[in-house]
Amino acid sequence: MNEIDNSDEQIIAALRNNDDSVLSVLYKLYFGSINHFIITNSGSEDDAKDIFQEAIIVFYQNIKDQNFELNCKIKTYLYSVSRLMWLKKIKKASAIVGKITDFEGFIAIDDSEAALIEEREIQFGKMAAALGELGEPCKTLIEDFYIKQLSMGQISEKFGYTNADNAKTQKYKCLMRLKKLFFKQEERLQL
Amino acid sequence: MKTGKDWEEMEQYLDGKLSASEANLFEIKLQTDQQLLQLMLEHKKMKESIAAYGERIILKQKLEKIHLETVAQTPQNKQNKVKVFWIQHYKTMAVAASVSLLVAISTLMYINYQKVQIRQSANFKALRKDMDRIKRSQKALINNFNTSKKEEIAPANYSGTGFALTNDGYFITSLHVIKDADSVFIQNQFAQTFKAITVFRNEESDIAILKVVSPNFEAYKALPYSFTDKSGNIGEHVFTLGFPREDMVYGEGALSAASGFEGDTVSYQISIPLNPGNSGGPLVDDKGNIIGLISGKQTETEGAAFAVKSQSIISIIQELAKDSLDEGFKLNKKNNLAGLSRVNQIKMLKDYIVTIKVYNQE
Repeated sequence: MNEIDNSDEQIIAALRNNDDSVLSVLYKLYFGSINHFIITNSGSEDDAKDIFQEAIIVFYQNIKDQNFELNCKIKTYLYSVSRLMWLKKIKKASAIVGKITDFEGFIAIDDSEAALIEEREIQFGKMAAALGELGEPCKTLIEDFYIKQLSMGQISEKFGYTNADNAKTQKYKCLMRLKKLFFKQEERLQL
Repeated sequence: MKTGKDWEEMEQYLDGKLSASEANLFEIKLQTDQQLLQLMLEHKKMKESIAAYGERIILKQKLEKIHLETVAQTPQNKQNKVKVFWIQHYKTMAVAASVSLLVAISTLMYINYQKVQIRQSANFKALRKDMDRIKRSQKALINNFNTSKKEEIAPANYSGTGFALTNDGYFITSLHVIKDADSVFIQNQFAQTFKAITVFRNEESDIAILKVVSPNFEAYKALPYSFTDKSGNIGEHVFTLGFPREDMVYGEGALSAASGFEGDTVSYQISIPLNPGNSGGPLVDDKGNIIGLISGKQTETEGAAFAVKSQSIISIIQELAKDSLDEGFKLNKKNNLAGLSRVNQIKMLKDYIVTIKVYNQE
């Protein structure tokens, strides 16, 4: 993917094609304006980084969903999502939110989409917590298998299991425990 | 609980690794086995959650890397930080800058004003002397024409403090305040001035008693304070009110010694910062008793001032009643200031404390 001529369509097509190199194109094009927005509205550059990356993740996940339709420019979308997230963050930090200074037009992220974004965050938080509670070596084993998608053979080699079947049994036990922990998180959140 | 075999089959089904016929068979199994279906749904959710978690973690790592490459390493970043600081704080800085500007300007103005004031008062003194000379030559002229004297309003040559000794127009002050006076006036809180005459003077204790002779003077109802006949204790808190300047000034400290300058037994030593003009003011203890009369301070020693003891004053007045004064006068015995806060004591006291203005012809 070449720079300069990166139309929104090309970027979206590339992302759907699993070409992640466009991520750095998005970064170069749009981080500056989000950074400016966050800093003007009493955030730091670190805040800007976190918010912008969250917005990219939201955008990325939406694009991967074939049903999603982008109704505005990517720039506007990223700005709108960042804006929404930053507002949420400062509202959490203090009861009083001063006037927000805007630099560009933004679209309203509708409630169902905002809810979806939040739900994804919650699920992520629950899984992170469950994996944290799971401890080693289970955590790495699960991550290697489900995320890095290593084969059972590679895993048994890495963990020093005598054979792949042994590794499979170990993985099964780990997964059962993770499941318990994960659904426990769910209950906890419902309380 | 399902066996490992069921479970493995389920996982393979979810991964799409089962052949079409195997998958069909498994689906039929799901329709009949509620427990298996439940397990399968749970596992599906788990897998999706782990996948979403993984995707996000990987994406985040990529973005962090991109951030490092594109943002953190750029040379303008340093410059950016200055910019960032400016963007974030320009409002505060603008306020700070205007405040300091204001402070600077007002300080300069104040200093200038002070200078003008000093110059004015220096001029003022010189002017007064000139006025005196003019007055004298005028007087000579007037004498020549044999006409009657007219009262002139001129600034006093000296001033001090005094306070009411009785409610009917007798005031007490330091003798040195009125020593060389041609005429004495007292001025109250409301800037009303009354002419007074000296009815008694005592060199030894440095006290003088004045009587107001102006007909427009109204007698006080009653004095709120009294002179104590007991000795003050060293370390006792004491305060005074006086007129080292146009406005009444409060000073406080402690009674520091039972004797005055060079062992003078009619006085106390006190540690109140005093200035010219404080002489003749009352020395009051915590309960509001008058325990002395401010008389002066030692020039070479810091923080040493003196006040004539109330006991000395009482005994002098008692002597006085015996011989010189026809009617004599009774000192107030009742003290209404005990138990009041300092602020309220001062409110009660301030009407009875006056400026003594002294005029003489040098």
